[in-house]
Amino acid sequence: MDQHNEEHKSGFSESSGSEAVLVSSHAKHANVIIAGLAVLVVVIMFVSLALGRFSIPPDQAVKMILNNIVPINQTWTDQQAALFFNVRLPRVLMALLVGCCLSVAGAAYQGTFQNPLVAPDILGASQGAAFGAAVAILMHFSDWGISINAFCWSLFTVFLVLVISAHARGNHITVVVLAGVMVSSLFSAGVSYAKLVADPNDELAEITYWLMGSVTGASMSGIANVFPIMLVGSIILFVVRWRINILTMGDDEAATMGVNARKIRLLIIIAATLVTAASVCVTGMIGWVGLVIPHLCRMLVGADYRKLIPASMLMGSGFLLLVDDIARLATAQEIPIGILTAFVGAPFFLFLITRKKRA
Amino acid sequence: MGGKAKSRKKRIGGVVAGCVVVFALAFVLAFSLASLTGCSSSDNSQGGNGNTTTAAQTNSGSSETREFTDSAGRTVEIPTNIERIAPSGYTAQQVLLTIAPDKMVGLASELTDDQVKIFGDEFKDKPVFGAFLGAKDTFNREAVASADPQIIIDTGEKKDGIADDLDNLQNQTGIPCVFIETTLSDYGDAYRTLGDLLGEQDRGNEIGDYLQGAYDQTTSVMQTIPQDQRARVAYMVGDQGTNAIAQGSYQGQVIDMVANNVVTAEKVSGKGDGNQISMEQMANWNPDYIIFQDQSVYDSAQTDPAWLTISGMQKGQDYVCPSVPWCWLNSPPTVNQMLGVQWLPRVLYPDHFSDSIQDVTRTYFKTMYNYDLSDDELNDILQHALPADQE
Repeated sequence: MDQHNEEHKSGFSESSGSEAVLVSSHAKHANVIIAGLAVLVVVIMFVSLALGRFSIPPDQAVKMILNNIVPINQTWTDQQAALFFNVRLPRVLMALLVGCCLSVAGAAYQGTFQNPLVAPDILGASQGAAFGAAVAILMHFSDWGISINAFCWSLFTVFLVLVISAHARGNHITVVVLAGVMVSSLFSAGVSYAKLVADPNDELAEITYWLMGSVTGASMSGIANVFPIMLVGSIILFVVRWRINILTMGDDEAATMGVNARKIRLLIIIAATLVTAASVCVTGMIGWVGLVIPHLCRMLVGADYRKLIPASMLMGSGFLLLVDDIARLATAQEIPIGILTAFVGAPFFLFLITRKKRA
Repeated sequence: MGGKAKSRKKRIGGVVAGCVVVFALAFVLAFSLASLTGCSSSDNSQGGNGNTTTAAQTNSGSSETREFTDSAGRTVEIPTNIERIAPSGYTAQQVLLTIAPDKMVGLASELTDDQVKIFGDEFKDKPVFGAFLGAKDTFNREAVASADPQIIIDTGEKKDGIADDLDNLQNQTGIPCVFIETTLSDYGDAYRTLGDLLGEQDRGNEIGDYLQGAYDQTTSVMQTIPQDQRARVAYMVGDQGTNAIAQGSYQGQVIDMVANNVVTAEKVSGKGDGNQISMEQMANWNPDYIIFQDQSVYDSAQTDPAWLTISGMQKGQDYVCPSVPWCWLNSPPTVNQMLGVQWLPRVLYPDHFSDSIQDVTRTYFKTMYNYDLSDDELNDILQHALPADQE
């Protein structure tokens, strides 16, 4: 919290002489870190593309990609091409996109609700999606049908939360979060019921894996479908990112600065919900990324959302990609990625808490 | 200001150090997980990669392909000569272990010690790919491809969307995938199709004929026992034994075939993991035969006052469903159910059969797994699974 205040102060006094130097040095520092993150993500991406349990030599991979632009004599096997374009490449891209979306949504929600413990699923986007997916799995929809159903239910859940909170009395922020928690638990009961009636041999397993999250099902066509939604949501969050700074000061402060906090908050919620829903509908529930990455970034670049949003996007991408590499490389069986993110996320969160006490 | 910058540097240093620690921790955890799920086997698959690829190239150079129409109605181009196969999941693994264990390049799940004893030590070292379900599963596409099977085989109940799922898997892996429908009443057909697919016609016919014969024997006996004279049975599953497989559910097919399942759930939580049943309800149904899936639940029921009021317990007609190499009644419902089809009626109506449970068990293991059960092994498998006068 101390850190928040410090940042707020420096945000306020941007024009006051003595602090201006500090602010600009912070900003410069943050820019360096963001550039570093960007380079890191690109490196991780290329390394990930070169790694896999099936051997695809990197030079062949490069040739395969170039072949799409100018025809090259085929020196690779058809199977290598199939696995590269239908398994490895979409997976890497999907991990990048989903990591980016979940952490940017987490960062935006944390600022909007002025609450450091908020994650992208705070308004029920994940539980709603899980319910939609579970129902679709019981009805034996295709992969894509499951995703569409999950996406729609995710949006519907958040819509429900917003409608309920609009009719409720009390502190608006608290009411929204409370309504989110309640509606979430309603849908999670629905998921439990779906698990009860599912066939344990396949349906139950599929629902369970869905709840654990994974990038296994990624395909280029799947990416093409969710990418526009992710792009729109991310652009909105990126464009309004400085307004999140104002929201963190409270609605009254925002009003004195001529910003309608409720409207901005709604816009941010809609954008963050879109990217979250687009992510969970294809990967299932991946926890911790949206909670932990924004905190990590906050410690690196400060609480200024102008820096925090791009930093979160980059670090989220790189983080999820790394974790997915573990998921697909560690054993011959896939390890659901949600388990791994929790393995990394939980210890980190403990580290974070104990560090703050020391300081 | 300098102090602030310093403290900031310190803070960033701390965060970086923290990240390193966390990532290190993650890797340690991931690899300890890996060792849990059979790391050594996966190393094997990678090490053998170079060899298998060249083998495949010489293979594919000489082999022709043919068209095969699978049970999902898909026409798939498959190699004429199939020497390397992979199961798509748990049920396919069981089926393939019976007809062509030598051709399997990997498993869907690791075998238990009991199972390794039956199928051979070579299965300890096979890579474990996980099970294919659709979009979210543990089936590692790249690991399967690197083990270089010529075909991936899926078996089981024919469900909506199976064709799309397999087309998808085939696109992803570049390996032909086929689906063979298996039903309790017609394993003969399934095995003959598999025999044709794998170039193992003789073996396919042998198993097919045997299973068809076993099924027909049970149905012909059941035709002589009218529905209202059949045994009243409850089949209890779950860790606590408080769940029962209900009448009419997919998991309870064998019981429905040979007995009256007393557990009639109004809303069959259907295919589910059994309906949770209260002991009061059980007392109302008061089944004459009780079958426990779990040995430990059977043991605790022997001294449980609530269970002891039930007719089946009082008559000593409570049994444990054998589970070697897999559960004989369900879990997962695949070819292992054919043991249940032969075992359960011989428990309930011993007078209608001339052969003993021991006989049919030995024959099954010999025919399906080419394994000779010793007397000790047989006794272990059939513990608490025999009518009182046969124990």
